[in-house]
Amino acid sequence: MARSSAETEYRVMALAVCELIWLKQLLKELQFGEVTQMTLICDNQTTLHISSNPVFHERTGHIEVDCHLFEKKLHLETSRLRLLIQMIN
Amino acid sequence: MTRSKTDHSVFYRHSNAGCIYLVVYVDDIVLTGSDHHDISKLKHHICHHFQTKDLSKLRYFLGIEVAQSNHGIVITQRKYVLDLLEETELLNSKSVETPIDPNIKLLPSQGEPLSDPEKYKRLVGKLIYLTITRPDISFAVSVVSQFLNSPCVNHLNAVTLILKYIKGSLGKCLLYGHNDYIGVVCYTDVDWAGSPLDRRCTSGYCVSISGNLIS
Repeated sequence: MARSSAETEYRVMALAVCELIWLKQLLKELQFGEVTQMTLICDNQTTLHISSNPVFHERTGHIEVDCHLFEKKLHLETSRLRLLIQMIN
Repeated sequence: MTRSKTDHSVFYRHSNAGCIYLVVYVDDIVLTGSDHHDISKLKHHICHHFQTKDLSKLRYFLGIEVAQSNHGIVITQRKYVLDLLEETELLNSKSVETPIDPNIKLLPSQGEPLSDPEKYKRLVGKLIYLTITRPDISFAVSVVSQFLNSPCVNHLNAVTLILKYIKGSLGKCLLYGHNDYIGVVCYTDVDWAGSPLDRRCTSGYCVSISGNLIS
C-alpha cells in the first residue's frame, strides 16, 4: 500500500521507464532510426519537484528504489536517453 | 537471420538491399521487410524445410484482422467481437456509452455468487484478449478480472456492460499511420488509494511511437 501519491506516481513511472528502455533497445536492434529523446509525461507536481531538485531526496526514503531507477536513467542524458518530464493539465 | 535479444520471437537481418523481419508466434509466422527478393528466397527456404502454407498478404493473424491502405495499417478484432456478442446473445441488445459505471465500486463477494463461474472466467479471458486492439476497455476489464475466483451477479452485470459498450463501438480500431515526426512518448497516470477494500492504487501508462499507440 502506498502512503503518498508521489510514491504511486514514481512506481508507475519506474514501470514505464523499464518499458521505454526495452523499447529503445528493440528499436536500436531493428535499426528503426536513432531514438535520441523519449518523453515521459506525468501530471504530479511533487514528482516533478523531486526529480528536478536533488535536495528533496533526504525525505524520500520510502520511494527510494523506484526513485533511484528513475533518477539513474534521468541523469543519463549524455548517453542518449533523455526523459523529459512535462506537466499536462 | 539474427534472433532479437530484446524480443525472442523476432528475427531480423539487415543487408545493403534492405531488411527482413520475421515474427513467430508458436506456429504462425509474419514476414515483412523492404528486400523483396530475399523475402521470397526465405519463404522458399521455409517451405522447403517445414510444412507451411503461404497466405500471401497479411490479413488475419491470431484473431486480429489487418487492413492496409495508403493511410496506414488498421488492426481490428471485429470478427472476434461479433463472435463474442453472438455467444453471449447480446447482438440485439441496447448499446451503452461507457464501459463501466463510474459511480459503482465493485467489491469481492458482492451479491449472489454465480451458479456458473466458468462462464464468467471464459468471458473475462476473451475480453482480456480484446484489449489488444481496444485499449479503451482495458481499465474496465482489469476491474472485472479481479473477481475471477469468486464471481457474483454484480460482477457479471459489469461484464455485460462492457460487452454492451463494445457493441455500441464496433467500428473502433487502431490505426498505424504515417506521421512526420519520430518520437517515443509515454503517458503515465495513477489513482492514489482508489480501492475501497485495501486502499491499493491503480496505475496505467501508454507508449506511442510517432503518434501510433503501441502499448
